[in-house]
Amino acid sequence: MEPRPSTPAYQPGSLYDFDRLYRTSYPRILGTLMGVLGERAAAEDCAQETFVNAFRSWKSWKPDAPAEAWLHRIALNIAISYRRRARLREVGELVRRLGRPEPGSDPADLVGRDDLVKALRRIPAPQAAAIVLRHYHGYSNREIAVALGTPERTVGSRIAAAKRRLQRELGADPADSFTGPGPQMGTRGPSDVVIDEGREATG
Amino acid sequence: MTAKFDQWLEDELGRTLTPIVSQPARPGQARYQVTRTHRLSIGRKAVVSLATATMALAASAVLAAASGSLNPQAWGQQVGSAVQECKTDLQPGLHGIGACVSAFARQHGQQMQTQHGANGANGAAGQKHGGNHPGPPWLRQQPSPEVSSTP
Repeated sequence: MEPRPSTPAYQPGSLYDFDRLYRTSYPRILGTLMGVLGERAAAEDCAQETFVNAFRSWKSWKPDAPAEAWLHRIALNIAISYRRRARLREVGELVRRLGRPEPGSDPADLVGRDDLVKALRRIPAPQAAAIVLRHYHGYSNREIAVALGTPERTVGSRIAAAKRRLQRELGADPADSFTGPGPQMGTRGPSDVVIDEGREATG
Repeated sequence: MTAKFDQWLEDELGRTLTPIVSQPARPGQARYQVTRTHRLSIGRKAVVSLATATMALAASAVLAAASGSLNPQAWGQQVGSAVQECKTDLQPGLHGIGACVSAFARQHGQQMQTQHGANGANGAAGQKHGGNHPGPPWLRQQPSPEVSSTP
């Protein structure tokens, strides 16, 4: 788990403090978005958009919640919108390709994509974010609740559901004890994205 | 859902994400800096606009005091006719009508001052419109010799 930097309090509206927040949080936001989106370029684009949106409302930010959790919430909304647009593009591509021979996988798409990142891409964005926030950033239930915009008491069950879903995507039976990557892992291609808009919206 | 799976998850996430997270962030290259610069330029434009408006207001006040009218058209007409008269009266061999126009402005200002003073004595309306105001300093001076020579 990544060690968390301890930072002094931020002053809403302070340009100096926003630069400081960017310096501290940008890499961690980028990491979360990378986990949710699975693509470096998309994650960087969404991370920049997150800070643009945050800068616009920086004056009205209330320090009652951790600033980074607030940023994660903005980032997650942007990532959900990005995924939605990407899926619409994929459906459009599929419709255009109907009747033509299916093109082979681009080797560039497959390089550097491991099974966990692929599986995280296939589960709803709030679930993927919850897993990254808990198991990589070490967020508490309260911080995850702020980041996901959900009640704190439901965070535990949401993370458990996210892990069950992730295990299914990884090819392991959730009823069994996990013994590492199963034989089915990595058999899905990049085009086999599961469309699950309704479940994603509810988180 | 075991501790073994959690451990595997943390190891895999660390292996995948740590190279990304460990890169330093440079605020100078962030996209929000464009928004910040845009906001600053808007603020600068607002200051320039305010200064221009203040200067225009001050110029209007000076012209209104000199012409004795709040109507900008009256300022132009009076000054235009004065300039025309001064040009007509300009003696051959002499250059410049500045002194002549200046004398006209001074004389006209004094007339307006006297008129406003009379209105102020007749009723409250004159006072309301500043009838007892002594006028700008240049109108309180003694008339120059050119005034008497002006027809």
